Amino acid sequence: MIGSDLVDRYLADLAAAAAGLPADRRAELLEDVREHIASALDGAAPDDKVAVRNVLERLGSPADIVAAEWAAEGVVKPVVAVAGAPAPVAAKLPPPPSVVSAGPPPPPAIGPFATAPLVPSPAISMPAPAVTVMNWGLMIGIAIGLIVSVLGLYAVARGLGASAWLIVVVGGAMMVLLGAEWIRTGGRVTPRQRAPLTLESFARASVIVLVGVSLLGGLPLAAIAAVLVLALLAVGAVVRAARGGSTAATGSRFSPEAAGLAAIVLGMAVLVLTGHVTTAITLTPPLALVAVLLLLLSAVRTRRRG
Amino acid sequence: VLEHCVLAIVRDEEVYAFELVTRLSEAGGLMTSEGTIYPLLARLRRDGLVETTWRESVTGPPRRYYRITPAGERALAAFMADWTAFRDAVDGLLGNQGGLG
Repeated sequence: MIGSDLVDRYLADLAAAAAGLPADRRAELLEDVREHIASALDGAAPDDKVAVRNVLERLGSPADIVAAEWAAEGVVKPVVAVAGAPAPVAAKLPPPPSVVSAGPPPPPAIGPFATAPLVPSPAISMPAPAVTVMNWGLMIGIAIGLIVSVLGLYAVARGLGASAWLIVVVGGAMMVLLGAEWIRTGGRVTPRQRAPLTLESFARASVIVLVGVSLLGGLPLAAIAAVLVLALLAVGAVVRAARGGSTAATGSRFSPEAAGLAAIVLGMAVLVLTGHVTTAITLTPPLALVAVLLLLLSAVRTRRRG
Repeated sequence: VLEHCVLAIVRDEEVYAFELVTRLSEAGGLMTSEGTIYPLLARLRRDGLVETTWRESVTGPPRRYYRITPAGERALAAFMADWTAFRDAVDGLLGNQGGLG
């Protein structure tokens, strides 16, 4: 009965809507609602879709339940739902324009996306200290991918639905991408050219620090961090391409432009799929600017190569 | 208002969530959607106004039972005093308006 399509879909929607809640509270809310449905359908025929629809209708939409959860967390003024009474004004206020406070914080899945620029390109010259950081970054990235995958599988086992599978895919992709790079380079990225600290290498080192910050709990910062780092990466690469020569790709399968674009697309997809549409919309203008810069750089490089 | 109605229900006996929702629904007009009770119950737990215990159920998985705490009783008593004064004030005004009309 509890496994009916309607109930499964409802719980999946609730899990997706609740993606930004703290993990323990999210799991508890899902468990409460699951238990409610089971109790409400106790005694109903297994294929009684009318009964299921009635129960789900009385429960209210997943969005309403999660909104009440955020209200109870103190994100907006608590709303007491009393039929027939006008809703409190606080519940109708539009979300603030600030990225940090616009709705629920981004889910943990956003953090790993900031590691996409870690995928190195031999076309980029780096100073020796940055190369050391880079090599550690590969190992750390693979470890993070493993941890994210395990956490994702745990979330899947707890019945948290599509978002949980997304986390598994993200963690797996990190392990495969960074692992392949590890094998290709033998665990060591060789600097082709000693150069003073560039914006690019600074951005790469920043990524490692910022990913750590985002995964440690400053989750809303992760999306902003990704934008800042990608912007630095893009600007640095564009500047170097304009100077000529040093960023010409030679036999590289990966490029900072491709990694940056992939991070943007995947990051935005995760935000939208997990219900953080407001945050995604707020991030669209700066991310679009970065994407344009990256595409411009790619065109310049292609022309130079030709 | 709703949170104090919850406190009133769990004041005299332990009640599990679905039963609580059923009683609130039967009272009529208190809830627009039953699912929003769970965030409210979580907040009452966090604020220390209710406490919970898990008990086995004969028909399914264990259930979480809610009961009021001393802090919850104080909050409920304060609300009841405020509510009575508020209700009397409104009743008085409505009565006067009715007399004038």
